[in-house]
Amino acid sequence: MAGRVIEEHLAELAAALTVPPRVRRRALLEARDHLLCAAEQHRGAGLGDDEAQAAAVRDHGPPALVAQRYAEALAHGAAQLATVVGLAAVIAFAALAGVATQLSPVHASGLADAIAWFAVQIALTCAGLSTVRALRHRRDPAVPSGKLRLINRGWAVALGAVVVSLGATLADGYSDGAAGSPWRTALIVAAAATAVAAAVALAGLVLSARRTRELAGHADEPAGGDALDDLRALALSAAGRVLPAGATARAEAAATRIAAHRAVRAVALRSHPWRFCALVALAAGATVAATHVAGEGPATQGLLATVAVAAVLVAIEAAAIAACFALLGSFLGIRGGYRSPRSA
Amino acid sequence: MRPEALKGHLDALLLAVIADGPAHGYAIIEELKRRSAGAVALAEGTAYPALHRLEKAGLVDSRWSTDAPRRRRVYEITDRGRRTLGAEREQWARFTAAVESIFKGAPWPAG
Repeated sequence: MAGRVIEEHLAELAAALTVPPRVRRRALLEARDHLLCAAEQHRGAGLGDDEAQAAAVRDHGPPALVAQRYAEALAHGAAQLATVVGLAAVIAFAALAGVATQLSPVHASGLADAIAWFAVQIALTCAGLSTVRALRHRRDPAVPSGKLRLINRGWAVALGAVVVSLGATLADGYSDGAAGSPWRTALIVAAAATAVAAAVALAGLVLSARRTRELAGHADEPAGGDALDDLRALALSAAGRVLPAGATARAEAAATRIAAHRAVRAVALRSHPWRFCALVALAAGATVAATHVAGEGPATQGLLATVAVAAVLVAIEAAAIAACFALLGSFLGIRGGYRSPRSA
Repeated sequence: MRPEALKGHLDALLLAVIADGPAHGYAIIEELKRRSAGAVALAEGTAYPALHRLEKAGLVDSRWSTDAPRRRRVYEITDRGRRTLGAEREQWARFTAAVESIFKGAPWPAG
């Protein structure tokens, strides 16, 4: 039995910890052993029993701080796990969608195809955002709860897109005149396997969201910086590992010079997110139109018809991206500043 | 040294201490304080979440020891932990060399 001062400290720590029972038991056992060792040493140095216990407790640190560090470690680990399983599910989904639309002779209905087309883009974009954010902080001892929340939101939207598209695909059943086709069976089995991967990823996301909420209960900090900051930090960290030190420094200096260039500052994409959105939307639309024309060839009715088809494709793609940006931009932390729920 | 200055380096410092041989939490923290002549002052309880994190990352192993009068967790570095520590040491040496160069006004990298 430890002394009164140590027992009181352990009781405070137990009340402050927001960790699973297994971690809690181990944390408290280790804290007890540590405090007893420290008190013994202080007694050996000549302190009385109460003073020795008080000194051990003081050196151990405030229970709220220790509990916060545990919450940080768990929330960070859960977000990394959510990223691994989320990425696996989105990649499986994208592969399924690619095979189904490009290679399979069996096709879903127009509606299921259209849903899959946009769902793949939404899932890949959100998965990319969350993966960049998670990778950027992979080696950090702690990540602000605001940033973890953004990582989780990205996975929520990505997996939501996967689930909606899979639901449409499975409901459709690739049934349009393809009953009995081995392709139809294979695609439905693959869609079901992807649904299982998505369910595992959703479980990882739920755990991560819970751990993030627990961390926010200790310290709710804003995400800090934007998605381009995350991308830059990740790129520099990767370059630092593969390039010689001088080359990395030169690349960083070049990136800073480009950012400071008059033309880049005049466009000011970072302070005008809608300009950034318009640029991305037009580039994506042009890519879709070019891919369509390259794949299908020019329209038989002539150049004007080809241009009209391309313009319609650009408009549809760009409008879809702008709509997603308007709906999800703030939620995903790519439009406007992140506001902590507690500071709002 | 302020605790917040330590935050980004605590994992590597703990690894460096554990690399010298298996030890329990209290001994690791005492050794950290001894090697820094007391300059590294952290809330000692915060070292344990860091040890758990290192274990989850596969950089250290741990087991309950029954040699002591009470149950205590003993930590031991893994092969992966040694490789990570080597990389951290290298990165730190490059960083300190660059900062030294700046303070002395010499170009970097030298040679």
